[in-house]
Amino acid sequence: MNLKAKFYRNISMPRFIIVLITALTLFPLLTFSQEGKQLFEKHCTVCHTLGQGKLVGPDLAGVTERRERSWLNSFIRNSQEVIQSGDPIAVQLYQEYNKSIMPSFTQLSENEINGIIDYIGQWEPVVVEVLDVDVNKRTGFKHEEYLRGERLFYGLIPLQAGGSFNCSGCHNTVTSDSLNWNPSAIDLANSFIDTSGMNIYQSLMQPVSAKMEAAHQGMKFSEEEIHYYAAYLSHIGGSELKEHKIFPVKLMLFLGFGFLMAIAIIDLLFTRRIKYKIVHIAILLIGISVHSGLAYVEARDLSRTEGYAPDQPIKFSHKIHAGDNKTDCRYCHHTVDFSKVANIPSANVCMNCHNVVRTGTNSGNFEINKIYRAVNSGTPIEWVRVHNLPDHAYFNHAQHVNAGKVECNTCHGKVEEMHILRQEKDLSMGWCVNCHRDTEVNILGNKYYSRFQGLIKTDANGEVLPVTVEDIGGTDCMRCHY
Amino acid sequence: MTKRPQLLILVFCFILAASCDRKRNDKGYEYFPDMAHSLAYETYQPNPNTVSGTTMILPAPNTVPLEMVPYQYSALPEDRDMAAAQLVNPFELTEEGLIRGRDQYKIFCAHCHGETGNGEGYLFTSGKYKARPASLLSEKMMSTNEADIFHVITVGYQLMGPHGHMIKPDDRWMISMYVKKELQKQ
Repeated sequence: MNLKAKFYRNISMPRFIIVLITALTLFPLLTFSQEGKQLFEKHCTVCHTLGQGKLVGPDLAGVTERRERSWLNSFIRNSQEVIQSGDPIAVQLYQEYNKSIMPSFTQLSENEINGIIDYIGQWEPVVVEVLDVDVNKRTGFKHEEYLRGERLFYGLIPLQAGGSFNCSGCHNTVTSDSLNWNPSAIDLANSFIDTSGMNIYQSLMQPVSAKMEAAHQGMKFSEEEIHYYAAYLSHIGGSELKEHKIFPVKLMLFLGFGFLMAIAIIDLLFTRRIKYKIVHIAILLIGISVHSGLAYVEARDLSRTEGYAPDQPIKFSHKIHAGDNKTDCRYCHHTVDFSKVANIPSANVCMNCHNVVRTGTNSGNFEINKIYRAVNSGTPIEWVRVHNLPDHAYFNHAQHVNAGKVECNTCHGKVEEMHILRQEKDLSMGWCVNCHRDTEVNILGNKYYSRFQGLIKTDANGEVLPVTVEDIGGTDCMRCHY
Repeated sequence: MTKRPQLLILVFCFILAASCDRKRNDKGYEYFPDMAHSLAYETYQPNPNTVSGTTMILPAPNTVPLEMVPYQYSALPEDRDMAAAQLVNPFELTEEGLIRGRDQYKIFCAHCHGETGNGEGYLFTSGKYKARPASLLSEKMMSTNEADIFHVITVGYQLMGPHGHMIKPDDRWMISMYVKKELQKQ
C-alpha cells in the first residue's frame, strides 16, 4: 500500500504516461530478442553453434540468408516430416550429417520459433580488428623481442595502456607445491607453438572464457606488446617448468642436532662450561635418537613413493569428477572389474561428457581444449602413473575389487577429495600383509568363497569365528611373488 | 689430516639428509631396485619399437580379438531399426541378472539418465551437463525392445557416445533387461 502510494506521488502524470508508452513500445522488442536468445541457448546450443563451426549439426550463422523463413520454421518444428516429404535441401542435409535426427520442437509456439529465427538473423559475429601483424607467426623472433617479452611477462615494464601486470604470478614458470588452476607459462607456450593451438592475439584481446575474462579484467594489450609476449612464449615453448624449492626441514633438524651434539662433546671433554653432565648426556641422547629416527625413516622410505602427487599433462581434478559430479570410479576406470589393471581412460571416454561440457569449473577452456587437440590429432595424452608396484609383486585389481569386494577407497584413500591425485598408502609389503591378516573373508555372503565353507568354525557359544584372508592362503609367498 | 674423515662424514650426512625433504613431484630414491622395473615394455609405456611410439597399438585391420563378436550395426537410424528387429537377448530373466543390470546401470547410466530412468541424472540436475538426457520412461522408449537399448548403448545415439568399448556385451544385455523389466515397470 505504502509503496504504491509513494510510487504514484513521485511520478507526475504526464511523465508517467511517457514512460508507460515507451515501455509498452520497447517491451515486446526487448523480450522478443531476449527470449529468442534464451530459447536458442536452451534448445539449440547443444548441437549448433553460431560462427564456431559445426558441432552435431551445422553452424547456424547466416542460415536466415541461406534458407527461406518458412522452410526454417517447418524444419525446426518437425525436421523428420520435412525430410520425409522429399524436400531436396533437407534430404541432402540429412545425408551430410550422418543421418542424425534433429529432435522435433512441436512444444514451441509459433512466436517462440520466430523469436529463435530472429535471434539467429540478428546475430552478428564479434568484430575482430584487422591486424597488420602476422598472427600466425610462431617462431623466428629476434632475441631482443624475446627479452622484451620476458620483461613484460614478469611485469617489469608497464603496459602502454597503463598498469603493469606480472603474468608469472598466475601463469607459473616454476612448479608449485599446490594446484594452480591457471595454465603455466610453459603450458601457454606449448599451446601457442602448436599450429592448431591458440591465436594469442585473439585470446588476449577477446578472452575465450568467463574465467579468463574475470582474471584478465582491466588489462589492455597493444599489438606490439602481444607480439613481444608471443616472442617470449615461442622462446620457452617445449622447455620444462623450473623445479620448485622447498625448505629442507629434515635436513635442518639433522644438521641442528649434529651441531648441538658436537658442542656437547667439546664441552664435556675440553671446555666444561656447564657443570652438570646430565645436560650433555641429555643432548647426546636426544640427538642420537633424532638422527637414528631420521635414518630409519629415510631407509624405510627408499623405493617407496608415499605422498607422490605428480603434475599431470591436463589439470584433471578427481575432486570435481568423482566428488562433486558423483561419477562412479568405474565409469572411467571400467576395466577394474575384470582386469589386472584399472585402465587409464582413453580420450574418447572423456568425450562422452566433454563433447557438451566445454568449459571447466576452475580452469576455463584451456585444459579441456587439450582433450580436443589430443582427439583431433590422435596423439595420446601422457598421463603420469601414480600408483606403481615393483615388477616382482603381482597385484590384480579384479581379484580385489570384483571377487573380494574391496572398496576403491581402502587402498587409494579419499580420491573424491583430491584435486591432484596423491598416493595415500605406502604400498609396502607390510601394508599388504597386514591387510590380508586383518580382513575377514565373507564366506557365507560371497559366492566366490563358497568352496572355503569347511574352514568355518564356531566357538563355545555357537558364534561363527572370523576367517581372514591369511587363513585361506593370502600370505603365502607365491600368492604375490612368482 | 684427522679432520678429513669427519668432513667426509658430514658431506655424506648432508647428501643423506638432502634426500628426505621430498617435493610432491619427486618419487625419492630407490635401493637396489632388482626386479622392480619390468624389462618388458608395459602397456602404457612409450615404446621405441613401434611406429606410433606407444606399446599399446591398434591391431591390424579386420582383426577380431579372442572372444569378441564383431558388431555389424552402425549408428545410422536404419541400422538401429535393423538391430532392434534382428538382435535377440541371449539371457533369460533371472533375479541375479537384474541385480547385475542394476549395478551396471548405476555405474554407466544413472549419472545422466537418473536412478529411476526419468532422464534427470545428477550431471543434468546439477547444471554441469547442459543437454537434457533422454528419458527412458518416454513413450518412444516404452515401445522399444531390449535389443534397441542394447544397440544404443553399443554405438551411441546423437550426443550420447558409444559405450560398447566400456561395457561388456553380457552386461549391456543385463542393463537393457533392467531398464525394460524393472525401471519401466514402475
